[in-house]
Amino acid sequence: MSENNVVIVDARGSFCPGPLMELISKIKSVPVGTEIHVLSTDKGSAKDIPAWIKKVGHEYLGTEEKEGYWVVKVRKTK
Amino acid sequence: MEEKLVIVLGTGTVEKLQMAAMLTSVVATFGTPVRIFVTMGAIPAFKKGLLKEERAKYESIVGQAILEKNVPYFIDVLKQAKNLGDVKLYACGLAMDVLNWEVDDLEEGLFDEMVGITEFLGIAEGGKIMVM
Repeated sequence: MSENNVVIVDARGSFCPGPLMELISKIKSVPVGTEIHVLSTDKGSAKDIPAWIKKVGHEYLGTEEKEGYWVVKVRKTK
Repeated sequence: MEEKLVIVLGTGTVEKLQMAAMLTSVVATFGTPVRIFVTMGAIPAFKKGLLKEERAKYESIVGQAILEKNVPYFIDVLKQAKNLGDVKLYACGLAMDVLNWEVDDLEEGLFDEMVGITEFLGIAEGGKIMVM
């Protein structure tokens, strides 16, 4: 799913480590520079995904809280 | 991160299996090799062809909730981890011998080989060891 060059990973309804795993699978398949938004209803994942992004060296663009879910934004840098 | 993570997985409860799988999957994405020695009570959870609820018993309400909710199960998380990084699973020779099992009796696509303690200690050398 893609909107305005942003790739959406909709992992709502899945628990840790599902959303992170979905992001990791997706990030491997898109070109460098791509912005990905992970949608997650899992609070733990909303905290853990930014930590993973920083650890592996991609660009963390922030987390937005929506009604009942979080949007974690990342840009693939390598 | 350490050069290599070694997990000795000896308990087959939902909680321990899930913890090992989650650690493995995340650590593997850092580019760190993970080596898992599946032994003793953890072996039966990996039997080929079991249903989700047949694999393991829970030891707390956390494990119970993991089974009831949409949590990626340890078997699938480990399979995914093997695709994401350098992850190898070894089945304990003793546990397999007493059950009269071969690697073919275990879930497909997970185990690299059956090894004894001495061989595994060689594989584990230089790594950070976690026992579960």
